[in-house]
Amino acid sequence: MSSSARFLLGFALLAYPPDFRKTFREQILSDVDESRAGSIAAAFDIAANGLRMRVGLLANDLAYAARRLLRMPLFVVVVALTFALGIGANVAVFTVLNAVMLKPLPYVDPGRLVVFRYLNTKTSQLTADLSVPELDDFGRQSSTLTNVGGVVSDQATLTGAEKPVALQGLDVTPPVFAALGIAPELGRFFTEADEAKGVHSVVISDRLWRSNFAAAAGVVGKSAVLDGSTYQIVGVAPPDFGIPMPDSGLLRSPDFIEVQPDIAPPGERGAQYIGTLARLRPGATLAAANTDLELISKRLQHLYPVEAALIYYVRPLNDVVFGDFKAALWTVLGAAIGILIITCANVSNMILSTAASRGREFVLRSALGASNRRLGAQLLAETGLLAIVGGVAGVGVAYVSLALLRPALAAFPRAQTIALDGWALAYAVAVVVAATLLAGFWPMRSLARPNLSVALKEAGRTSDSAASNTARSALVVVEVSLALALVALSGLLLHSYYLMTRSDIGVRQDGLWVSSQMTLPSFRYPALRDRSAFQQRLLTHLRASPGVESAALGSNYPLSGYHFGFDFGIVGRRFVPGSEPIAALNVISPNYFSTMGIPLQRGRAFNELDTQQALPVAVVNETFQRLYGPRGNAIGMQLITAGVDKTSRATRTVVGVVRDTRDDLTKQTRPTYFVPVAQTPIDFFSLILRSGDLNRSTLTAELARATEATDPQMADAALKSYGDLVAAATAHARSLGSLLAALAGIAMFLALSGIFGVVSYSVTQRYREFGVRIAMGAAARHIVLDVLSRSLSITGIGIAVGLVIAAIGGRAIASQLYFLSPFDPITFALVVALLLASAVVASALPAVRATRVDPAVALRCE
Amino acid sequence: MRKSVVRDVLPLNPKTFHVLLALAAGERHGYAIGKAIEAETEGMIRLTPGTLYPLIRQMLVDGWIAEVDGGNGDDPRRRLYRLSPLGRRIAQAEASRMNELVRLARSHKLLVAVGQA
Repeated sequence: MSSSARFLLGFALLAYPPDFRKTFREQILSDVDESRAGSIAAAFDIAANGLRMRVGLLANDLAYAARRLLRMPLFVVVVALTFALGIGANVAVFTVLNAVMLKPLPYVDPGRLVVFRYLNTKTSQLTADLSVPELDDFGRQSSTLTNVGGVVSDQATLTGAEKPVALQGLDVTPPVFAALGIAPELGRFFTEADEAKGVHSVVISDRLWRSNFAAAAGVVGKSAVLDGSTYQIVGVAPPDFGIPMPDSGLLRSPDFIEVQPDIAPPGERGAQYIGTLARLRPGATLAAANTDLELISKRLQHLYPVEAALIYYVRPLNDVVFGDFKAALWTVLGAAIGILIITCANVSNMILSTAASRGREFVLRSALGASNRRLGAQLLAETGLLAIVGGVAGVGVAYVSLALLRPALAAFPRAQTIALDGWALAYAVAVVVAATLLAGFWPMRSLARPNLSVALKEAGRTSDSAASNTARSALVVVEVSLALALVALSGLLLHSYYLMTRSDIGVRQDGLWVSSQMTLPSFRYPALRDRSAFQQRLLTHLRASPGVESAALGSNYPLSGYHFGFDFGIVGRRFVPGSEPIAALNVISPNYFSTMGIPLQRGRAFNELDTQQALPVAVVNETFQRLYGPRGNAIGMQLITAGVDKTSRATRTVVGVVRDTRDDLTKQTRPTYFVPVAQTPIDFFSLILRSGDLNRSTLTAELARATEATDPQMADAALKSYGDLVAAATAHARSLGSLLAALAGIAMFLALSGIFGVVSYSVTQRYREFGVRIAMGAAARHIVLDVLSRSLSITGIGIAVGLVIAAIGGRAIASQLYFLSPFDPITFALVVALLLASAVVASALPAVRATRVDPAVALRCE
Repeated sequence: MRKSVVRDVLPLNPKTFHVLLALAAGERHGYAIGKAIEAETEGMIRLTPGTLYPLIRQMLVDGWIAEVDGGNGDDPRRRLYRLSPLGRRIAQAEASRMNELVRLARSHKLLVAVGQA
């Protein structure tokens, strides 16, 4: 036989079970030699029959396992439910992870999309927004990037129908669509021609197309009136359409998309407000793109010298979209795998608990000639059947828990796409296989290697070897340690969430409401005084409403989620043009501070006398005063500020200092200066209302009535309470915390049932001993303490190991913790106390049972 | 007891029966069993090594045949097999079962008795 034929046949023989192969290999090879059959045909014959033999054995094992299991329904139910919890948790977590993070973003080759960032070395400010000239520079000069496009948030009022509608939109530059590689549902997206002066093109969302244009196929070419200007509808975006915001990575589904108007004067390089994204050219790497940008930065620095160096670079879009979640969601997957390990340890323990009877069965069958391998295979078949039953139930558990968790998960990106699908089912199959091996491994080792003499000696008693007891205790230590780590991590997240919701925003939250942004269309309110008049009338109407204690307006408010950064000068100090300090600007009505409940620290607030004709004034916050106030006092400082439209420069005198408020729950307060709306008229604003008595619907109706009375053409605004704003700002933390808390709950439950099982079992084993001790007059107290000390020593070791795991996990979620160290002693102390107390509860029942042993019965058992 | 064990396994799979028949004549190794069956059935039944040895193994486990100690004929890789007393009884039982069937077929005029033609 040639060596290749020998190799081929040897390979085919692998199809047979090993013990068969060992016995018959040589005979088969010799026969093939003798018959001079073609080696390929022989190999096929051998492989096919080998596989048939294996399948037959597997079917035998499964049938045997099924018959055995049907005889112990309680065991099956308990084990299957345990598996269902563990597998269900894993499938649910995977489904979340897959929808949120693993599935690629819905763009062509999303891994090659990048967003712009730049660092101002003078102010150490990291920013995402570029100016129009910068956008042009990078689009034209970069050899590594293509389709450099800009995205800016916008809003507008759609008129033409009966009631005006307030819309959220995006302004983009045409390359954005090519960069993302998305196609419209109808019509087209923008081209360079749409950027020409006098061309007003708009793309509408599928949502708006259905709600306001009756989903008409002929909508393309029709016109729509936005903020009083007539736009031609050139396309309809597809239903699942989203554009990533380059700064936050949030996927926005706007009602309309316009071409970015070049609102800043040409060459105004300081007007940086455009989020910028681009696509790497074919073959270009991220590193090459950043080297390229460094060169362009140097060139620009030379052309437009400023005091600070601006370092431009790009980041992968994927990092920006998923960055915050990545570590945290992997931690959650780690938690789910921890639960799977706990589950399997629990099941191993239950199988081992049946060891006394199984041991004798296995010894018998071993004596009858079954190999260890065969016995192991049968044990594995039983575990596998249980895991399959548990897996099917687990998919049900996953379905139900996803439905229950859905509201809590809403803050994750693409949360609406979370659903059980083929991937989840494939994952479930993989988890069932892993669970079978994991849960079957330990029992297989200790049961399928029966020690004949020991087993026969013990045959009459339900005693168990010390080694097996240690194995079971070790499994419980694993369970307790993983459960502790999970409870500790979810405890940290929930504690952090609690601190976030309780953190002082700096406003008096009770009865405080803010409206969504209102925009005054410039065609109807062209003059500054018209805008002021509208605002005055609206505030007057509102103040007259019954139940409204106070009404104010501002271009911004704490926790709004956005800010307007403007550079400013200080009289008496010199800044090189382009490197002036930047602070947040808020344009407010005089009673803004009193309505908000923001206390004045120094000087005065605005009043009705701060008009256009009066001395231009400003109020600053504490952070502003600390950073820029001479000798820690900002009163009397002269600020050179621009208006919101960047045209009206004014020198303002600081007349007051107010306490800091939180712009954002997770960020430092920005230096902020406030200016009176009478001196800087604005065409967009939010209302701030204080009302102790009115509920949301009544107050919303009051607002609608006041708006109607002021101008029937205005779209209604929605109201949010500060509770809503805090809830929105803490939604990420809540989603993550509740996901991990649900997992921790399952882990706790499993670990406690593990403790209960092991302690119960040890009580059963020591039945006779307790009987003797009670007969000798031992106090119930001593028996209980004996049982508890055993339980607590196992729990104690588990806690010690768990603290180490929690410390490692804490580092992984540190980026998700606010106001809290990942080693927060209070959280850890509470978690340890919780686990110890639960361990006592779990062992209480078996401990009490130990005291109720009837000596007579216990001794008769012998 | 034994009798019922024997009856329980009837009717035999034809291939199994042929292996028993091939061994009824005397000790044989696997390849010779295959060749004998092929010859006796005029090529109607062919046992490839892939099917023959699983059969042999099952019959060894069940104790119908046994390996002959130290016997491997000319090729050291081969093993000789023989019928066990149990295997012989089973083969006999199957043969008489078939005999009964043939008698029944005759009585229903499905088959002409040898010598009566």
